[in-house]
Amino acid sequence: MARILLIGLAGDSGCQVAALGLHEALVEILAANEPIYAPTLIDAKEIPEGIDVALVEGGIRNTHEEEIIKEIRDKSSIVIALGACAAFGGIPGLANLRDGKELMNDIYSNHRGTDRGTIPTHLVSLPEQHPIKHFVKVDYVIPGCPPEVTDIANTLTSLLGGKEPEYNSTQVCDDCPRERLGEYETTLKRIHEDLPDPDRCLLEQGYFCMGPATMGGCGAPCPQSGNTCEGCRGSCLEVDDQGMAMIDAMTGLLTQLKDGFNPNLYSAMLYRFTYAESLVSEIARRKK
Amino acid sequence: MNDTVEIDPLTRIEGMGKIKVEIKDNQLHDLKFQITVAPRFFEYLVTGKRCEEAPRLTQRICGICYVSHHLVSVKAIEDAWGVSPPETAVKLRRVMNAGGYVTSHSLHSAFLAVPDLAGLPAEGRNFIALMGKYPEIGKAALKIHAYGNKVVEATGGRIVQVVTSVPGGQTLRLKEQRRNELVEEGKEVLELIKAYADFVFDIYEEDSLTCSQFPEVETNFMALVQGPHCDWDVYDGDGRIIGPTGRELARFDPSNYHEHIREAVWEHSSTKVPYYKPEGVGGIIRVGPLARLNVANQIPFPVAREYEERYLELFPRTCIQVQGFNLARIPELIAAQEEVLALLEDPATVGEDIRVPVKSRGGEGASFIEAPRGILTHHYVIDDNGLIRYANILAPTTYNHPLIQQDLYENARTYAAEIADPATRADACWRLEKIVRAYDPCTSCSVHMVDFDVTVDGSAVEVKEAA
Repeated sequence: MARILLIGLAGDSGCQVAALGLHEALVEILAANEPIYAPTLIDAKEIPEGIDVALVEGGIRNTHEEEIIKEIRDKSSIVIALGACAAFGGIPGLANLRDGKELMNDIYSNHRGTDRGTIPTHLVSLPEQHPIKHFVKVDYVIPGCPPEVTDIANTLTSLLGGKEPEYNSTQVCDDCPRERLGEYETTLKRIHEDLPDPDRCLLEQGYFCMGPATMGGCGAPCPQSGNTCEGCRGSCLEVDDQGMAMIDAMTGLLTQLKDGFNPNLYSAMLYRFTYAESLVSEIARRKK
Repeated sequence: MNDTVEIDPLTRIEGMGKIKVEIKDNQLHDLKFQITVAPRFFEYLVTGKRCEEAPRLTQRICGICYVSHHLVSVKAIEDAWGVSPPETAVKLRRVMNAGGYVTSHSLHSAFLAVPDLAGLPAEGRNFIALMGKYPEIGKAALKIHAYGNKVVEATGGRIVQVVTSVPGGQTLRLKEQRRNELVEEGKEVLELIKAYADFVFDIYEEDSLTCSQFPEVETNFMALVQGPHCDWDVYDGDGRIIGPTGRELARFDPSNYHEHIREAVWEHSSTKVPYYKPEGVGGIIRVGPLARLNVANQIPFPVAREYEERYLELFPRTCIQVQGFNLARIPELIAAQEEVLALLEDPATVGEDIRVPVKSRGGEGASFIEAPRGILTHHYVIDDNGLIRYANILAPTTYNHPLIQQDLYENARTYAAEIADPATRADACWRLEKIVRAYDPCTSCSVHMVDFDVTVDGSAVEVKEAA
């Protein structure tokens, strides 16, 4: 019987809802083990000693969350980053593109429809959003926004059975049935402006699909539903920077583009989930 | 004698929060309701971005009501551009929205709220214990939740985050075979929902004490309504505000929301609180299931209508009893399932015409949707290149936040001595937690951009309009 912790920090509880997607299987796993701390499910108020497996959703943006993640690390044998925010910073990491003080100023003093206010001084926010590995050692990552239920189940059953969970070594394109011909459009298109061919690679048709730079294993549900991959599973194994990997993968397309390529316009696509841990954000930090 | 009691963390709510109660000589001295999730700056995140990214970015505000954010976002862009998606696309979106309700309401009810009502021992008020004591009810709840997920996946492309709504329509058709499977299973699930509903209604109808220990605070209410008779609708319609006695104060479409709603910055905290503009910052508005059943004239689905009548027997309009929230969710859960079935059986839902290509352009647009936790507004200004230049998001929990605070304060004042006494403390604190849970607060939504640290210093919520 393993002692399990499940917690959400700066995130949206979506990963925990994804875990609930296991339904009966989750209830079986929980009933066969000992869920000792899981604020969304049970009423335990203290993080206990002797945790075997800690599943942590969400990143870190205030000192409260920083203290909790350090406490969990101290008390746990295995810490798992569950989902994109815990693993890479996630979408909230995009706010790191902007100075924290400026953001506050805009929100409180300069937002249409809101009474002009004073910037609160009691905030204990950190200047940037961070993945949990910024503060503590992370043993395993279950990527995705949301993480795949099969990944959650496989990771838990492997670990609880004393085995090493396996990481996916493919890219999203390997899961995607759309056909690639090696021929590219000469302009980048926006998804609502045209109707893409349902059977052909979206990137080759000029739609900004992050599939080639993103870890596979999800079954490519987004391109199969007619929209682009957002890159929510982060970069493929042994690749450091997802945005740069994407630029690299797009070389065939980039050389064809009539109007060139402005990476600024695509920052929220290249680094939608990984900006907080990207090499470019590290360079920006050092320049300051 | 001074006592400080902390309930930290609040459990069985979405996200992280805590309550701190200070008692002096058996009298309530101070109460703080604090949400400890960090701000995530979503309005900034979409500003300067291509507008079609907003439905995919903003849904990450909430992992439970993501469907609501996704859909209201795309509706706001279409409003800005004056675009009407094809009939099939609108029906698919309505199916997705109703499926989202089935998952969200079943999750809140079975996992978060009902473990408090089902006579479980204090050390085991949770879903696992509920399942142990009432296995059929537990299994039904899991099946209902799973079915809602299937509906969302069939129309949204995946669960927990969806991908299919773009300006001008949907990117994914619902094919007939999948539709037929969903109809077949959906009919069985409606029966499960009715059994689950009877289980919860029986608890309320048999136990008159369920409500008597909870505060009743007078407020305005706001919800979406549809048509001349102000019918219940959770996808589209006008915003309607009523006063504490049920009198209509305003009915307006989303483009006029600024004339009726403003956001206050609290002097002693950092939350933004929406208020009914003509009444000034004291014009607090309650939203969510309780508000919807107060504001809308009736639910336009037959089975849900029967349960709504049963609900109104216990909580007649205009209900200000906080425990009404948990029961109001049940007729809505039935209504959502009936809406799913009605739409799935409509031939237009499986049509092929799901999208019109649209050119990016400038404009300003706003839209309403009823998220499971209450009315949600997205408002964008888009420049000529189709980039968002201004974004405003009014999430339901920001309306309810001062009410949660005020209800907690009232309750802690009444039961201050019990909170101070270690022998009775656990039950008194449990009562406080049940107040928070009734609102089903979405802490992630409420801090989509600001931190919360709210204090109430008196019997009324003290809000000052900042200079």
